[in-house]
Amino acid sequence: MPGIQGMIEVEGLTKLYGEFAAVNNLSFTVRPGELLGLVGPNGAGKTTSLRCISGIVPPTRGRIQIAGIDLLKSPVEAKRSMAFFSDEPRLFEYLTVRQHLEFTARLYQVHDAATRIPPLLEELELGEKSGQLPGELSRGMKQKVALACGLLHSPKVIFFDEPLTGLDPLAIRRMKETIRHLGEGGAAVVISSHLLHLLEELCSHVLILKKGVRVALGTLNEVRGMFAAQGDSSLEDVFIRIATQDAPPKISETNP
Amino acid sequence: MNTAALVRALFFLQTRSIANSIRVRIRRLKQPRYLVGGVVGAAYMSFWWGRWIWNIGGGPGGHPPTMNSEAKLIVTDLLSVLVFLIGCSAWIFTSPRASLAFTEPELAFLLPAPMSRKLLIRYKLIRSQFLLLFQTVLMSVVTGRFLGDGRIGYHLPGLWLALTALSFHGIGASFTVQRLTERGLATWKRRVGGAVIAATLIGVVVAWGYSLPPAPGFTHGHGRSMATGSEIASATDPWLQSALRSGPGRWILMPARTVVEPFFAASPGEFVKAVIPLIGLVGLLFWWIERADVSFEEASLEFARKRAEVLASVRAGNRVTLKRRKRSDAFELKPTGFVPTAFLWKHLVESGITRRKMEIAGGGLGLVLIGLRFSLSNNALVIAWSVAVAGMTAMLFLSLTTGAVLGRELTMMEVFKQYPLPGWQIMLGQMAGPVVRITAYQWAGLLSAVTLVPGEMLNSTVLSLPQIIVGLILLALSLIPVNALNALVPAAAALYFPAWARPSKEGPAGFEAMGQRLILMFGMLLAMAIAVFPAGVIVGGSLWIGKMTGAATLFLAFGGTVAMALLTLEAGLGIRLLGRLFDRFEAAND
Repeated sequence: MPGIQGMIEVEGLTKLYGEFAAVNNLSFTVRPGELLGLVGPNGAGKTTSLRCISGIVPPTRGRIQIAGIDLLKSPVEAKRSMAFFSDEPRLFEYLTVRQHLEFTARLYQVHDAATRIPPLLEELELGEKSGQLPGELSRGMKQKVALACGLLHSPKVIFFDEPLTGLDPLAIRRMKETIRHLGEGGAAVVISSHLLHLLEELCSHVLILKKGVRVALGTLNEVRGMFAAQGDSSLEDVFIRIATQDAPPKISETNP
Repeated sequence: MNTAALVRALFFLQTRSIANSIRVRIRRLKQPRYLVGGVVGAAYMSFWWGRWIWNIGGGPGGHPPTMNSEAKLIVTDLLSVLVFLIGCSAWIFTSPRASLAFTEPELAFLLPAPMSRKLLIRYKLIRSQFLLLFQTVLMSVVTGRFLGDGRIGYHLPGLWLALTALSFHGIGASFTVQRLTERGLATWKRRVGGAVIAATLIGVVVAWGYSLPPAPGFTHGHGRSMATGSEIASATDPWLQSALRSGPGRWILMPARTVVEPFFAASPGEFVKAVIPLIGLVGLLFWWIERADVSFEEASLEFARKRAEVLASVRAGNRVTLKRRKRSDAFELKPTGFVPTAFLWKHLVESGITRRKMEIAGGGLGLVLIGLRFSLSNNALVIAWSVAVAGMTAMLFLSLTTGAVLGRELTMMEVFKQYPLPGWQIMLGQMAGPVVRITAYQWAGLLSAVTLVPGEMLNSTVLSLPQIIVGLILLALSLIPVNALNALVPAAAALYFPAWARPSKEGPAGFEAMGQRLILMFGMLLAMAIAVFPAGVIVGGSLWIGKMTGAATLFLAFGGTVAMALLTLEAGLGIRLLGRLFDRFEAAND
């Protein structure tokens, strides 16, 4: 869609560990309302890419723009618009659910936190648990606390790293609904996951990485068309084909 | 976000966390086991620590030992040297990747938050002050008592600032080391270079010291071997003062002395004079850290992950280790045979004990003992013998901890229960490893004591040579059932009171948990005394009858054998009982 600026713009992202390139010259764009699935075999560089793009670890080279702000030049301003959810909800042992939100509000300087917190807790079914400590919560509930903290400042760019790990079927359904709503609300969402059916269900676009290099990028249909022998092949077929290829991956030029 | 907002957020996090943790502990006291533990723990705290605290300044409760000004000067000098060495080690041993010790939740919340790297560093530095302050209060209580001068007002801020300076220096050094590494300085070159510089500086001070005339009344090396502590202090101080406080020593140790001196200030004026340079040094270190724009995030993530892994490992009842290496077998384990042997094999593999290591240790000990026996003078032999006996005695007490293996592996019990084995075999197997290991150490101690025993001592003993030989053989053999009994009691405690027997890192903290551990320890010692008492009576009685009848050797051998058999029987019965307990055991969650 020409004319619409990407909410996430990554250009030539490279992350080196000594001689080893965990991510090599990665470029892509995610526009508002798009849900991008990040796929790749283990060690493909997915988590490293997510961490670099979310400003958690500095890249070696490249340019990253979040909501029009250069992440490397103005990391504080760029981070105001984003949220990062790791696979494991990591919470403070002795802060209650509500105190986690209050602490997060302080970090992000959310002035109207007092009015935002109650509906957010209710929406995520945490209202009755607001006075409890993480040790008293199930894993799914902890995940919801992390989610509530991340959503408190209404981020426009959201990163999920394996968001469904350890959740029960009901929690999975609710998490999927939440992610879908975030996309419908105009946020740019990046989801890294091995659950390909989840990505097929939720994502509008897919980015496939292998050995730190972009192998494919495009809409689901475009990517399927690129790699599958037959048009009706699933993302899983595409993934297996890419993962088992011995030859160096050929970089696809398709770009949304 | 600015620094003021950061401090407010940090204050919020800290105060709420402390309040909630206190609330959790108070709520836990509703359970009787915590209440009992709480009462015992509080009694211990008030008896022990309370006395220490109230006695600062020589209160009516007692007269604490004091340190005179001469001794303080020596301690100041020695601590300055220690601080200097710590400072050098920060440059030599630090990892080439700088990291700040954040927890996983801190990283999860702070790294994606709109905070600059500088602010993150400030967060870490400010947060570390809470921990340092706690350590300072604790150490001030102890050292205040030791110094006995009641100057807690100087000790507390002095120590806090000293620890802060050391901590900041460590962080700053690690940041700079990463910078140097990024610019191509190889780690080995940095380590060798750092060691050479440190050794040179130390060499200069030592050479300077030896060039000075010896202090009156004290000669280096020989001549005053029986001098008392205060004599040595008064004689050493002038020499130390000259060596460390003049010439190159003065300049080399100046930063370290700046760190140490406020703690030992004796008056307000002296404190202010000493503390101003230290505050300046801390400020300088803070500025140095902030200025170093080093990427510490990845190493911090790795550090936090490893720390969480260690914690999870402890919670799962495993050995606490960050480096997992493949270990060789101690012996070949055949697929069939006595099952507890497999547990012994597992324990030896986990402990890294291999056949080669055993051979090297055994051969090495033999050579060292023979060398010492033929090279040491009689006086030195007495000292070596005393060390060997003390080591062996300590090993006896150490064996009390062997049963704690069970407490650590409580979470593995469900796995063990899946095995088609009676409980006693599992218990025997679990205990076999630690018992065999500790017995081997004790035998090594015994062998050392026997080899190094001075001739005079052997001649002056009331026992005859045959009696000594019989006694030693029986003692060596008895160590096996004694160690098994030692392991049984805490192992039974772990099965009876699983929540109390958990390792402290995983288990609950606080004085109520400390009380639980005190009760458990007392119970273990009492049960052990009861178990060993009958055997002791038999040996004592046999010796007495032997002396009366003139057949001491015979009666010693007879009594010792009966006592050993009794101990073995007790251990065997204990293992059977433990097996039954295990068969009925259900690991309870606390």
